[in-house]
Amino acid sequence: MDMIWQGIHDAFSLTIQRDPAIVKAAILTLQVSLSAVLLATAIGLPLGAIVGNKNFWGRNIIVIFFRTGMGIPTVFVGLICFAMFSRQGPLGQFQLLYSPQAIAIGEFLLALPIIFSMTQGAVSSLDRRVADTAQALGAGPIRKLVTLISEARIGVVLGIFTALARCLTELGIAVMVGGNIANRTRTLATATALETSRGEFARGIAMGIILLSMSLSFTLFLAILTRKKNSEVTR
Amino acid sequence: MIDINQLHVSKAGKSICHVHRFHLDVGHRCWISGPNGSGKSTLLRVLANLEQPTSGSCRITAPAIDIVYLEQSPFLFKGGLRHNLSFGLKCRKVSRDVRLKRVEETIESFRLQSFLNQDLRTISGGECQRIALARALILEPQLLLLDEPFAELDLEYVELVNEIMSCRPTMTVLMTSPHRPPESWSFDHLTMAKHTP
Repeated sequence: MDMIWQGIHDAFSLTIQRDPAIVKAAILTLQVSLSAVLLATAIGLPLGAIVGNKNFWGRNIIVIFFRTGMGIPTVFVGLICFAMFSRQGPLGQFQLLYSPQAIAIGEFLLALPIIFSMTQGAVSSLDRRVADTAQALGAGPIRKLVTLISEARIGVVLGIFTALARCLTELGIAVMVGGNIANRTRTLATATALETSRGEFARGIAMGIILLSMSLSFTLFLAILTRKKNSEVTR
Repeated sequence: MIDINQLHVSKAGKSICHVHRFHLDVGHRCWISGPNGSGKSTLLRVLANLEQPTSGSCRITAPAIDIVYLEQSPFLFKGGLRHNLSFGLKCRKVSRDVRLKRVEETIESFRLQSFLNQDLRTISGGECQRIALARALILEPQLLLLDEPFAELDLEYVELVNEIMSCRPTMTVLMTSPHRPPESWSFDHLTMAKHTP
């Protein structure tokens, strides 16, 4: 137990001192995860809203495919990405293996099914009159889609946040296609695992605390945003 | 404005709406009556392009953006009164200044001031219908399709809406209602019969 308290104590001093290795890992984690989630949102959000609102042949197959993807092990995504980016792989010529871009692509594959499925679920559970009312008032296909997303925003935001949380903390992809190279592809999750295996318990906990702080900051940010949106209802 | 010929709508093999022949000129107003299940709402949904007819033809001379349909139990979007009233204007790319001006004018003419500081999720069915009517009429459409718009409104407010509609003589109105509108409203009448499959 003493070891844990000592770890927490050391973690705070390392965080306050802004240990360069920790800062670099934190910045890289944020860059990689945010770019992956932004890209996944740009694709998954409209796609999820369309599939959630339309009935067409093969819809259920698409939904099942993405829902299965929600629980996919990160090591498996890492393995697929490794096979794609390795020198013999189909994308080997781009030399992406062991780069932050490779981690971002892997995390994009992780985030996309979450954002798609949560958006699809939120939009399909909306009142049928949302789409009809928007169309009856003259909304074109894009505005109709925006309206559907806006009406289902709580579920949509939750989906984006879940995807971000999964990307921030994932380990399998970062290790397999990032290689955990110091100052280049070391994320907070891989660094935490490495420091703990080295017996550097305090550094491991410090990184864990930073991960937790990031998660808390996003939660607070979203809570404020949702509260602001709700207060607009009365205006 | 509207030309319907042998319009037929069926769902799952069941006939839900049939109109032999119907014509309505620009600026005319028509009241549709008929028993439950005679297809009054379906006819309006077909005219609003929310449903497709199984057979027959339905020609409307007004452009799609100038047709506004109001559901029997209207839906209000999240985001307050002003957001709801300006929704259709945004769809028509009306400039911000004009939009704001028209929204304020509509709030005043439809006496909606009390809803400005109210959560629209907590209002009654009649109040919801008032806002939805204002949201439809602010657009000044060429063709207005109303599905039992006054079912939950008090008489005073019905008269107010009629007054506002009277100021728009070129607007064509097609309305379903179980009750005959007052004589002063000068509505044509179409009766729909219930169809057996």
